[in-house]
Amino acid sequence: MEFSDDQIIERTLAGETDAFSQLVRRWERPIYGLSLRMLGRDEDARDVCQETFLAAFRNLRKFRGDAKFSSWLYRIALNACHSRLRKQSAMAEQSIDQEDGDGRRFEIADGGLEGLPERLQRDQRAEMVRKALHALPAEMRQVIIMKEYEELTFAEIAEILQIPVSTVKSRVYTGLQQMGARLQKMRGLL
Amino acid sequence: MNSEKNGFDSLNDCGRKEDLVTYLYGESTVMERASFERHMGDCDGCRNGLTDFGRVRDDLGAWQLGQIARPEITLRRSRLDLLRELIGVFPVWSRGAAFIGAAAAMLLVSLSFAGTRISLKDGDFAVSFGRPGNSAPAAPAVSSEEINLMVQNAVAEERKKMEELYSARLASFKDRLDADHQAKLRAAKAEQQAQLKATQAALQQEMRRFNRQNTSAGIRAFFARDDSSDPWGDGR
Repeated sequence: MEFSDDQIIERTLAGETDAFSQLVRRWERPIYGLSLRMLGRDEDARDVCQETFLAAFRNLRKFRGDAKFSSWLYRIALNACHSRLRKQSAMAEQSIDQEDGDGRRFEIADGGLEGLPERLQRDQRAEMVRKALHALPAEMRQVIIMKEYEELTFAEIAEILQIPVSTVKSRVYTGLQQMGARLQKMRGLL
Repeated sequence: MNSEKNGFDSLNDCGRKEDLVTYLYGESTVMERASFERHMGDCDGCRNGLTDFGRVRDDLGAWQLGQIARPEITLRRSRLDLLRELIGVFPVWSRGAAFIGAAAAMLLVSLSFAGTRISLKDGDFAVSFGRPGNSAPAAPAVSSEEINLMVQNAVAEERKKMEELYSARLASFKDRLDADHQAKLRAAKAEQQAQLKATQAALQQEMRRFNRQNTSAGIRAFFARDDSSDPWGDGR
């Protein structure tokens, strides 16, 4: 039987702590995907994922149910991402190219040997997107990721970020605009 | 009609940016969609913007995550969380009582550290703060020999007390033992006398019966004897 998020929360709060693992299974991939695209590194994304669910578990009693559980979870994850980004920027700044030089620190779709040239081309394009996305200010990057990859509505993003819908739309517009300009520039360099 | 602008740096400034992204992601209502489509007929900026943004979205779609291994989430609970959970099991009133008790204990500990003294004597309640003053004269310095002597005296005194105590206990025990022994002797003597009396009484009774029997037989034999030939009974 499939329980709703709210039902699982009720069961968890009633003492059935194992019920929370259902929420983890349900939401770990979206949270991981959001964190990975925000931070660009698998290990950071995993850490944020862990932190997010731990924080949610510890503060479950504070969740009032006014918003959706997923919105609350996304908000926790984004806060963790921003906190990590701030720490990263406070440390010695590494250029995105240097980071790539250390090894492949981002995930792209993988497959066998079949269609290798096409895949290489796709990987190159994915890397360009990753770089362009990373070059965006975090406030724009997060709305683009939530809209494009998490397929959330403008209203849902507004709820998560607790900002007006018009601001979300404006940020998406500016983000796409900057992404487009950067990608065009990158293609010109190739 | 708006003039066509090239590049992403200056897409359009018609004031319908929000409508454009709403339309781009398919979140417009039927009326909004119809309105925006009418607008795009006149606005090259929005029309080009829609095309360019569509291309960017297509690029964004190139970065798809592959079959990623599930991140392992381990919900480690801290001792504090476990304590909270344990506390949560108890009813509110018991938690309140425990809290008040803990607060009172804390207060007492704090007061004792602060040197507060509370006294209740002859119905008078008194509280005094601060540690006792240094009005008491300081103890004079004592040498180690004196301390040794004091210790030896104390040990000797203690030993003497112990010896007295043991002697008293021994004497008491001896008295108790003697008294017990005497009582047993008296009981045995009384029992022996009683048995002797009983035996004497039985013997006396037997003697009386025997005497009675012998007397009767003698009388009968005397009267039954023919002593005409020997009237004196001595053969003369």
